[in-house]
Amino acid sequence: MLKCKDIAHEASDYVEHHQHWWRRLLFRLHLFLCANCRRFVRHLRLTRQFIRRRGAPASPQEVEQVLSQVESRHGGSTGAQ
Amino acid sequence: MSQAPDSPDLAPLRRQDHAAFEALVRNHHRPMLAVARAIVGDSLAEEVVQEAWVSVYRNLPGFEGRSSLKTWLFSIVSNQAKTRLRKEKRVIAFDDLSVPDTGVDYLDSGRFHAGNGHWKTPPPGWHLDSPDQLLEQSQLQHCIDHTLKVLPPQQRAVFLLRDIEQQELAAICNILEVTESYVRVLLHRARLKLMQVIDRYQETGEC
Repeated sequence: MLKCKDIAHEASDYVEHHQHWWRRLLFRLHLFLCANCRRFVRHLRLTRQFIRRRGAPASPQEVEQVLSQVESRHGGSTGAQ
Repeated sequence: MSQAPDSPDLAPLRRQDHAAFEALVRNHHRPMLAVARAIVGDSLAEEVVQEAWVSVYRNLPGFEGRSSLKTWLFSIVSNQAKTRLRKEKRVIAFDDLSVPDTGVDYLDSGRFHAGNGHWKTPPPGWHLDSPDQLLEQSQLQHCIDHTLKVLPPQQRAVFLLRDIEQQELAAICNILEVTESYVRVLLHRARLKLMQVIDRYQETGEC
């Protein structure tokens, strides 16, 4: 039987299906019996979904710096405006 | 070739169209910077990424789409960073890559009972429990941004590549030249740190 400590250490492998099937079965059995670990895994999934959706585009200054560098190395504007 | 929903139209990029290239930079500059930082450290990363973008722009007309555009971009910056390392003929100073790892409470043995391994301090409940609700919290966005900035470079790179850029673990291993088991450890630690930030925010409304 897995312990809560095992769940905390292996939760990422569980949500990404990286465990051996037997380990996964034990994991699911533990989750069935333990509300705290179900909450832990739910929060981990939610954290991933939230971070994935927020994205992090570069700032206008960062973009400008790259474009200037590229333009200076190519002796003109980056393509048609 | 079919096009992934989040991948840009390749034709204008191959023509080196200004607007298309600008959008490419906007959407991929930060993860590329994270890759460079993980390989060469903070002091050289900016320079390496600038060089990588020059190389991307130069080679876009010949990009055949055999790999995804993202994979191609990451392989360019990764190669650029590794070349730079060899040129410098030095190992990156320890300080560059050794940003203190502030620890993960959820992996601390003190969080569990010594005997049975059950939670001593269970995960707290969240009153905001959907991605939409979390996305509405501007202070939380600030907390997450800050945490991402202070993650150790390899942890940050692995996290961005996997959870934001959705790269396969094998691809991440190639980009960063680390083993898959190490990638999985870094990834889990990064996720739990961000989860702790959300825990704290839900409890106190602050970082």
